[in-house]
Amino acid sequence: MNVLTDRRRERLLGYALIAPVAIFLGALVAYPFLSAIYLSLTEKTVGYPAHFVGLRNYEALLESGRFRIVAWNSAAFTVGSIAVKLVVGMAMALALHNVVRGNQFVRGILLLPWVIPTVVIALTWKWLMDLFRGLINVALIDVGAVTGGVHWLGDPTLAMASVITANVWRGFPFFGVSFLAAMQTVPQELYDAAAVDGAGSWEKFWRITLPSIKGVVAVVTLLSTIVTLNDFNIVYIMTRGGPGAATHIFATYSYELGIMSQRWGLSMAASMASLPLVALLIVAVVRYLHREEE
Amino acid sequence: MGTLAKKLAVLVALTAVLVPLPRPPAAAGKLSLWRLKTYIPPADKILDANAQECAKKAGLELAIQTYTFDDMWTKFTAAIESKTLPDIAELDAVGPARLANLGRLADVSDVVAAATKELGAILPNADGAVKFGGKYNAVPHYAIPLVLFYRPDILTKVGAEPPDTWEDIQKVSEKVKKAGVQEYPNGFPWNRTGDGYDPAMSLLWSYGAAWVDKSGKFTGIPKAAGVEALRVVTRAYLADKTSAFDYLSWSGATNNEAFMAGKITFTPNGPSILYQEESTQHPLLKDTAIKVMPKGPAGRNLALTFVMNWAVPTDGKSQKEAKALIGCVMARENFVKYMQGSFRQMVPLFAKPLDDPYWNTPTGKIVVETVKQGHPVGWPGPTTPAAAEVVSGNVLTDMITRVIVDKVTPEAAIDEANKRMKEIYDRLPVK
Amino acid sequence: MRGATLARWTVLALILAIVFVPMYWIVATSFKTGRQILLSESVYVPRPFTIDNYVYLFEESRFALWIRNSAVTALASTVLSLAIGTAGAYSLTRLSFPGRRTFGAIVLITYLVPPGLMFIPLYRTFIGLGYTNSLGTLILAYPTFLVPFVTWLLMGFFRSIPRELEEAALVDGATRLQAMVRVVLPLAAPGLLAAGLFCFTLSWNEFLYALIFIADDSLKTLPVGLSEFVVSDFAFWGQLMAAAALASLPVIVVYIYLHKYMVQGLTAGAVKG
Repeated sequence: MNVLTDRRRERLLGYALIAPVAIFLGALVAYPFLSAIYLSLTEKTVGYPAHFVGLRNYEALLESGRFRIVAWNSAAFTVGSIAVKLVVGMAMALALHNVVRGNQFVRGILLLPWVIPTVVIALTWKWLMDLFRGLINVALIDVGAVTGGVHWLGDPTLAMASVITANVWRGFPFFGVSFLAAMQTVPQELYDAAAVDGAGSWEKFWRITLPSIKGVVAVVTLLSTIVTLNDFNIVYIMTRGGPGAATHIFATYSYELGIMSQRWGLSMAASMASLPLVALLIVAVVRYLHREEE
Repeated sequence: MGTLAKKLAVLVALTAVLVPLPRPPAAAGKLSLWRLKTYIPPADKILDANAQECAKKAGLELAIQTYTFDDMWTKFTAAIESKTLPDIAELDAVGPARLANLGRLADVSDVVAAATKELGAILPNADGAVKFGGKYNAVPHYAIPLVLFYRPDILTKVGAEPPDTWEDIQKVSEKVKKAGVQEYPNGFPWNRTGDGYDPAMSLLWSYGAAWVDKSGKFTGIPKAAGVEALRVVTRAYLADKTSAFDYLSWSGATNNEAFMAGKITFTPNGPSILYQEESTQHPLLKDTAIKVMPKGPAGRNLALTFVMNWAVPTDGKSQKEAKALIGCVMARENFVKYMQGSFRQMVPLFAKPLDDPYWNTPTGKIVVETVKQGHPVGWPGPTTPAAAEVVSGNVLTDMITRVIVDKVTPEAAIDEANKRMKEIYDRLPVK
Repeated sequence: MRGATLARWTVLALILAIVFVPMYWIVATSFKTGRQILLSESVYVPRPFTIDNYVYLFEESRFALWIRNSAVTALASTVLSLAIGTAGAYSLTRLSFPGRRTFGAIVLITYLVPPGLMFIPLYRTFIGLGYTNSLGTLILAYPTFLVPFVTWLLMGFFRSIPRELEEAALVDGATRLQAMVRVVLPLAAPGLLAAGLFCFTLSWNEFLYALIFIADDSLKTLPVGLSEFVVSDFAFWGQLMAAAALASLPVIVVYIYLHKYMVQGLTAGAVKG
């Protein structure tokens, strides 16, 4: 009897406590998301009523060469940023691991790029990379490394690398600090045992460190992928998607369509295009977490 | 842990203190005005003071809000959809066409008539952006025309005359490059800002490559003329390399900065460089000159895209008061005071203040001439929502960069652009 | 071993330099005059240096107001997200009820819905609710990407707290809710703090929603305000960088002091999560 009411109570409390999350996400995430799907199936110009056109927006995008470039750029921007963040973040964590003196302070300093408003970061990098007066080119010319300035944001092949650089600068500290914290939870005995077996540092890293922190690596990578895939500021401020469309990505493209051209239907369809990638991530993460739980 | 809990408590308490109370609803007799925030703070101040003075006389409370060129359409898009446009809106060159087509602008012909009495006739070429179906939907406020900035000292050094055609600019740029004065003297950026799409129109039009007819209906860019126009660009970026690829991702400010850093000989720009050089006593001020933008085989057909216009959206409840306020701001005394505080940047679109001795300087004459000659977006037709989208969707500059960056042939780039424009004009038919 | 140490310090020095240079550029520029910036004079060290840019911020711009708006928005949306997320996470980890797993999966999936996709539909939703152009709009909008994260992070955290402690409180006669507030939450404080810092940072830096949802000048947040220093043809670099430096300062101080909690919390949640 008592047990039963207890269980009922627990259920009720369970529902009561999850209710705010459910209502909130239902109203402000699920509903807008579904309406985004609907909008992407309509011809909707700002100020005019929407009318249903089925998959025409998607067809139009698939036919458009511009969209293919944008999709490719988005993939390059995301994969490139994440890969470099992983490497630099790991290097940072390894360099700081087991350093006792000044560790806290250095970590605090290294987290700073992650704290500065992204707008500022984008503007700062734009200016650092200015062809004529940017610090980077001025310094390179002063030390005689180059004669003219490097076209960081103008050369179609360099521009993507440049916006990735700004994105990496902003994001790698989060990787590094998270990896470091995870490394510090790895028991020293594992390393000691490996040392007895005569393992070198490189071997220790591959055999012990990396497997022990792979959960954190996966989660951080996932978090950052979502943020990077949606990054708007850095590209919009640094290049506006230029030169030509060399750095145009989903976020800047749907802004151009949705705000500048006032075409919300097409803009939504363009944004939806990043969903397959996101869906893949969802599947990967859910499967990963399930395995961990068992 | 105890201290942590305390910290959290402090955080929560702090939030509770700082969370704002709901704002009181707008009182009756209150007007809202949105205007462009310009790069000349003193001029903005005069405008605000004028408007506030006008409101005070009328017994109204006026709330002024600003937007920048970059976020104008973000702000207006939101307001259009939520039906919360302000009582008075300062709109860009394409704003009146877009909003009038939505039926969201009041007829302000009476305000224009009153302003004409004060300021003289409205420039005929200004009509295309504000007059639709025989009535005015907006009152032209001012224009900041794009002119050709150049360096007379460098021209002298290489023995060249100030260029008057697109061809000349390229020839002189080559000379400057060959002489080793500058590596990339030609600073025409063709980017996603006004410094890109405004010259893009001037270029196409002066090669006879407009995309509409006189009624504003779509005809497509004629291929032969379009290819000739694109050749100007490919020479600069690909053949002679007198322009750097870097210029293609410039923002509106970067060409000013590059010019003032002494790195380029030519750039299209509003007169803002002069203002900046004067206000910083820049050493290049004496070596800075301006000229009316170049002509081509089909003549000198300048675009005038940086035009601001007053409009009264019908979302507001106080249209009568709003109109009166615009009338007051455009009254001769107020307007002239504003104009004269603009460092010769804000050029009127009415006849009388254009004759003001204020403009009787070497540079003043050039900006006035440019405004008098300038054509609205969508020339030779009037500005239409479709023409607006051609510009804001970057169709023209995309066409140019397709050739430069993606190495598409000029013919193919024109085909692409025509296809995109046809889709736009099919969707937003011209009445 | 010496080689390894050398490598370690080289990497560290390199990374510090990479982090340091742009920050130095921000600070150095903020002390330059407009002329020094335009003419590329004294590029590396501003000589003479000026504090005019800082003076301008307080006397001519609405900098103080932007800071206030950002602080209010960030704090309020953080608190709101923490409240909703904590309750949800507790429910999903500690209470058993039908549909719990499904809820858990849904929360995770909503976290993956890209915000870049949401700005137009979310704005339409707010228009439908008749609630735009207020800091409250942002305070409600930011938790759309914060709540799933908080919930998910705290779920990991709650799992790491032994059930026995809670059961002991229940045996002592506390109700479930009391046990949660008195026993579990204090133990999860580092997690809450971590989640809070994360929420605060993301809200403090948010740009796109703030640009679109807010029309009123007096309600602009810091990132939007900062972008106003680039006015079509003219970038006020000196003032912009001064604002950037000042705007980052409070958050930097908080981080130097509190970041270890954030790291602890993130990893505890992630490892278990």
